[in-house]
Amino acid sequence: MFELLEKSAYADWFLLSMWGFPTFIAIHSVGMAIAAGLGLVLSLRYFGFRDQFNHSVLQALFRVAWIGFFINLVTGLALLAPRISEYLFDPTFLVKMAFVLIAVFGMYVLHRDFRLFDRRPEKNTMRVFAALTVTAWVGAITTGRWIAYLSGLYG
Amino acid sequence: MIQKLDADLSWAYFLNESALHDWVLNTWYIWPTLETLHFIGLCILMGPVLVVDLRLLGFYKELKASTAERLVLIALVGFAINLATGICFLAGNTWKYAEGNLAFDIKLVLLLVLGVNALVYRLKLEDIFQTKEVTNLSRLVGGISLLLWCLVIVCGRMITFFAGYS
Repeated sequence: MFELLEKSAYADWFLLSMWGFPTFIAIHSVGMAIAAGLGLVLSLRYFGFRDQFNHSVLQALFRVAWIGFFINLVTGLALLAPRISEYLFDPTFLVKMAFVLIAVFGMYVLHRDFRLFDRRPEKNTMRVFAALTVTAWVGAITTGRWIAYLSGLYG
Repeated sequence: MIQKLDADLSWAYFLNESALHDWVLNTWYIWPTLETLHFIGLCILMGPVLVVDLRLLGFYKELKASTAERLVLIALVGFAINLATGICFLAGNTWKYAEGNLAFDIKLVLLLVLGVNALVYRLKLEDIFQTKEVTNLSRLVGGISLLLWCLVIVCGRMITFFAGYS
């Protein structure tokens, strides 16, 4: 299964081309800024930004935040596939994936809360999820950056 | 020629011989930690900027003036983090940037254009939130901001790949 990915024509191109890694990692950074940046804004709604956004704004922002995440899912898989057997046994990468899962779950819960109960963003449990989402994004960004230093997979 | 280079790069010599240079390179984990902060700073900058840009572009027409103002303040916090960490990178690994790094040069030009763009926003567009209008100027300023900030991130991530190639 891994061999299929790592021996594919795509993997050959990615590992040999001067542009494969730089292109995808650069787009991955833009996706990060969109997903985590808007994750921060959407979480602020539960901390002092309570009445700052109305329905149409939040609807658009959640949508764009998910687009950011989708960009990073695609570029992330493109970065992962050529060296998947190394990544899947790299502790830093695995911790990053755990953080990403928590952040995405947090975003999903915030989005669901907005769709079902638009008018009352003051519940304490939702504050916990908002804080969790931001913390998990910070964790994902930190471990993501440190993969290069701790695992030696990429520079 | 060498004399000309010396004159042009006096800032680089200054940074490269500063105490900041020693601090950044002193311990192995300082550099990656600064990079991590630079990434977090760009998210703190980019999230709020996106919200205002999408309003200027007309994706939604309601965004309170007070909200926009607070978002811009948060974005400025992100910018301050990235300015500070960016100067640390310059001091620590000066020649990576100073010896004609195309990605870094383009990033600086884009930041300059974004500065002018932000000035136009400040002088001409801050009242637009009261009117709930979308004008050609607001579309232009919002579009430039959205596109160029994304390109700044791309160029920033490319700096390391362009080091020593120009």
